[in-house]
Amino acid sequence: MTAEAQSAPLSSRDLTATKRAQRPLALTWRRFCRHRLALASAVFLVLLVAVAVLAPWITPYDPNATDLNLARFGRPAAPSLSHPMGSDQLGRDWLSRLIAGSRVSLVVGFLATGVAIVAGTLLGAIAGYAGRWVDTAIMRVCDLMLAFPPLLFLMGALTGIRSPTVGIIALVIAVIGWMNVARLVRAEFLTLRTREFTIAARAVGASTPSIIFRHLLPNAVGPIIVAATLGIPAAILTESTLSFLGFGIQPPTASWGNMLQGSFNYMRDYRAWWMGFYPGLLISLTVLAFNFLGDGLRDALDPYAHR
Amino acid sequence: MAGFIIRRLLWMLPLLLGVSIICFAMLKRAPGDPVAAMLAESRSTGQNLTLADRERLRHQLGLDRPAYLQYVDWLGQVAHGNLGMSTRMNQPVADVIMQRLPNTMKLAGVALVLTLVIALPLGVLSAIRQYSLLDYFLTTFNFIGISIPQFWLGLMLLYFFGVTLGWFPVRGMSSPYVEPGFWNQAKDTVLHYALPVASITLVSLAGYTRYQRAAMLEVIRQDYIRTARAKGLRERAVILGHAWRNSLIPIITLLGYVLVILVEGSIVVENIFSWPGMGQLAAQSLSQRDYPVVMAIVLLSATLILVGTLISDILYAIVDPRVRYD
Amino acid sequence: MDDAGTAALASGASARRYPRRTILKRAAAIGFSSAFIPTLLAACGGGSAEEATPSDAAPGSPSPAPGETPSGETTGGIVNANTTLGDKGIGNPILNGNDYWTEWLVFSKLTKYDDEGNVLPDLAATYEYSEDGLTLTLSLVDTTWHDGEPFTAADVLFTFDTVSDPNVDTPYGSRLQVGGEKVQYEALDDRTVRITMKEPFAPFLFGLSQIGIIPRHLLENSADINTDPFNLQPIGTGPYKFVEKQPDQFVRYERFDNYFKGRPAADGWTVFYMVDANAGAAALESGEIDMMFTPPEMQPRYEDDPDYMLLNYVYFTPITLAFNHKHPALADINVRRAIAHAIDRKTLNETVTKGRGLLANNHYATTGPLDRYNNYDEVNYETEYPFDPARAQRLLDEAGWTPGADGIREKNGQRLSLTVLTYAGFDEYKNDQVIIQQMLGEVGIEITPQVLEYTTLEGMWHDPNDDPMGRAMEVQEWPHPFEQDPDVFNELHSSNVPPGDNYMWFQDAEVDQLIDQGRTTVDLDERVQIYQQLDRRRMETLPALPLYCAVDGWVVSRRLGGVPEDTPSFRWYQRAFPEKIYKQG
Repeated sequence: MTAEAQSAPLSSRDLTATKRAQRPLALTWRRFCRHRLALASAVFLVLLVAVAVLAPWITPYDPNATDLNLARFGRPAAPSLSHPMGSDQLGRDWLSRLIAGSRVSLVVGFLATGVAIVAGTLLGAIAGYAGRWVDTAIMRVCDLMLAFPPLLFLMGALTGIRSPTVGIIALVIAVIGWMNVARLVRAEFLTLRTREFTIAARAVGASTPSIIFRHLLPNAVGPIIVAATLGIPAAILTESTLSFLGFGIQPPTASWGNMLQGSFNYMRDYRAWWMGFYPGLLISLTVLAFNFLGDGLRDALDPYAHR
Repeated sequence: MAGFIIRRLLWMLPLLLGVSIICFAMLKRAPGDPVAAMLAESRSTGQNLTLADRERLRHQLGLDRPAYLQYVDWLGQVAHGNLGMSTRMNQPVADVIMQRLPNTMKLAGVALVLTLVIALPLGVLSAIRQYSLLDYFLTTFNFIGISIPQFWLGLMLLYFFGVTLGWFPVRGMSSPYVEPGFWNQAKDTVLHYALPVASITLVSLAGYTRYQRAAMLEVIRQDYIRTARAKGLRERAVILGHAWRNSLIPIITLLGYVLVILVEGSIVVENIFSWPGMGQLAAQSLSQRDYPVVMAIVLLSATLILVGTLISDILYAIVDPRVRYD
Repeated sequence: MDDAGTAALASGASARRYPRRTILKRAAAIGFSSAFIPTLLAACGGGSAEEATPSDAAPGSPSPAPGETPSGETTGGIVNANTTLGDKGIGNPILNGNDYWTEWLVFSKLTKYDDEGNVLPDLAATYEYSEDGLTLTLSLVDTTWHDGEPFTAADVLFTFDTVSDPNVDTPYGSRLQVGGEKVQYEALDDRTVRITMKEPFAPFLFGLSQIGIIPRHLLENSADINTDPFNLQPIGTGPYKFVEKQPDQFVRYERFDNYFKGRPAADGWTVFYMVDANAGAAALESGEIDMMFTPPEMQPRYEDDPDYMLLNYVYFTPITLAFNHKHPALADINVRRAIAHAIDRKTLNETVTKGRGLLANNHYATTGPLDRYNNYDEVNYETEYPFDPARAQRLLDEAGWTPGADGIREKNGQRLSLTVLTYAGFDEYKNDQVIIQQMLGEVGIEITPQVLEYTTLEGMWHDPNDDPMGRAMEVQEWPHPFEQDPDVFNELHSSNVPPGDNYMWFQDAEVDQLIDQGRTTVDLDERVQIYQQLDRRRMETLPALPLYCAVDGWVVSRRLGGVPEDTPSFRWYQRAFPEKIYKQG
């Protein structure tokens, strides 16, 4: 070892390498099993995201174009060769709307979770690191938002907004979702803050932001990633519940939630099973996939935390 | 510990104040007011509120004053224990809520008890018989349970068991035509509770069973279990005696959050099954801009949440002596 | 001709399920020429369903003798209904937001209107206007309240006083005002009331018919009528007594044997609170309720179901595409005309109402009680504004709106991009918006549909500073006349712009004048003449484009008797004759 290496402070890269080396490389049979599902889910989700991104180019029809000849007297058309997933009561192609809806639902999910993660991480980091009254203040705000009944908050925030955009809905969902991440990150920071490498870093004069971002945060990344992966399906489910209650994305813009909500009458009275089956299936599969993925990630990143 | 509890209790007051301010601000931001709601309703029945009527009503309700003053008025009222008058129903808010709160509590209570009673043994079983068919079946069921939208489940149950098969009634808590007599009433009640309870329970079961299983798995791996086995205790004694109780710890922490889940789930389930509870009241009061009722409901829910989490934190400390609150 | 509609009509006719009036209605909706109709009517043969008076065609006759119908069925049973308006706990019919069924089952009015637009005597056995139209004299029936106290003219006066009291939370104060002044009223004796007004006012009788009569002996000493316990335990003179209420669940009513129109047909009623339409439909299917209001998308399921009657109710006035005349683009009559030509109203109607709605070529429904005011000679929207996209494009070009780069028209740098609003809760309106968006898109107008809560819309309507750019058009039933009275003063007269009810900002001097005349003419024939002129003027100035007359339906279980299958409006029938409905078996 050279003199240089001996006296250089431990960089975060070394730390990460050390941490990685700690993860067991030998997978047990159980984790491999779970892992398979997680892999399959990951593949499914990548495909789904690809579809959502390419949506405007791959929809067979314009999702908002009506075809009043197809739906004579407002009767939804059953699946056929030209419309593999049928149509709705105005003759709009259901497959095209599903594809368009994937964009909306996924964007709401990712955006809401993204904002929640970023806000939560920042606030949690500051609270955990700064301590004392800053910590107390942030934690009390956290408690305040946790005390507010979430669905009522969403309903109250969205009441009367006409045709709320994806951005507004995502923002509102994020407002009730950042607290768990903040607590998580704060907990991590509270423990890490007293570790040797932090003290060492401060001793050599590293600035606060650099300590937070280069040293502490990478160690908290594991739980954050898991929280993100599990937060997305929660946001998607919340969006569909809001649509059911009439508060979410308003038609004619398609979202899986409002497609589901508008289908009930037609399923019952016209036996148009395809109108409810496909959006419901997609929501469930997507949520399921994210849950498997999140579970798999949690196992991979921190196998001793069975929570 | 005592200091911890006192501090938490003291903090409740400013937190609730904050909640009430946010809620009031949201209500004021929303376009329309109780008088607009009255006008909307009056149209649908052929009545018609004239402009003069509306002005008078607005003045009566104090809606022509600046928002912050309205809030201060409301706060003053509440400080004296008066939750105000419902603009929609012309009755005191407290009455309106007390007519409906027990119904939600009953529904939530039954669902909670059922969840625990079923989830605990199932989770334990699933853990000790890991990798068995039962375990895989339960795990699959769990994952599906947390993936399906709850309103979807509720509607499917309604249509399949309520309408198509006709086994259960599809609305309300009771039928007005029940013959008197204990067994008749009991049967009627059970039938009415069945579907709404199922809608809530199936979803919360999925979450709980998972946690219970995970907690149990963790406990089983512990050294003291191995020691108990090594001492020659029968497996049954090991499980029922030692492992099970210690696996309760994570469950208890979740109990506090259960209140949130149940009060929230009620909004959707009550809507679908016409259950006369707080969820329905909240949704209708919000759309009719019945400010006093909405404020009261939000305050009540927030209090429940705060108390619930406090209780679960206390229980956690009692059950696990390693936990210390500073 | 439309095959699906024809087939349905023909099969229905030959199954003898449709009486004559329904066939005529449906034929008109589908657009049959008058030559075809006799053939269709012949197809139903000389069956019993062809009576001239609809009320005789029903299994239960209008006035059953106590306990029996002429055909020998016993009456009785408990009728189950539901209400989607939610439990507001207000049983007093004169207060704001009062409960609908309590108003019509427990209380009586002075007069009522039936389902054909005729005035029905209720507590006022007879009424008479003086020659000059300034005095109305009412003779009251001799009956008692549910608690046995006698009903007298004093109760009527008390009701009028209460309704005029500014401290009472009632929407009916304006019903007793004519020409800006409160009318005068007095009791000539225990059974006679005389009302005197300053000028003749045709809609007065209809307004009067909305006021439920409340008991003086129970409320005259009340500290505050708005919160009196009477509201939770109401007592009236109607066919059914209030028994009990389970909050948010149901209300039970019981027959009042001494009802002045004879013993009511059912033993009692139970009304359930069910806010969600899906829940209501499920309850109907499972038999827990016997009747329910259903929007078009729910109706086909019940059309051929032998256990239910589908009673279609045609709205008296059409759903229209209403224009906000404050909007700079729409203030130009040619733009409005272009829009009228760009919309294929026939296809819109068919798709959105599932073939049930009536295409609206006039301002009042052909099958409704206001039909006499339609000007069939000069007014026909189909001939005046036929579906002609080419003409629409020409008109827009001439008005200076030329297509821009993306196909959307522009003028002076402004794009012709309009918002169309409607309120939540009706799939039908949302579907309207989407179809209109497509059709107007074809001629280069960009439409942004938005769905709002009713409460929000109400706020916008009455805001004098509301921005017209955010509310260019609406799918609505505007202007509403006064239900059974054709007066459109509130919504179409220029003096009522916001904060009044003319929230589309329409202003035309001739329309104003005709409206004023129509209100003050009591003689029916003269009134009809005036409204027909108004009809024509409205077509010329296009305040709104009539689309179709919406058809809502009441699905009524066949277990119920006393409900005529071809009533033009079950909604009005249940208000006029609640005492005739009962449950069989």
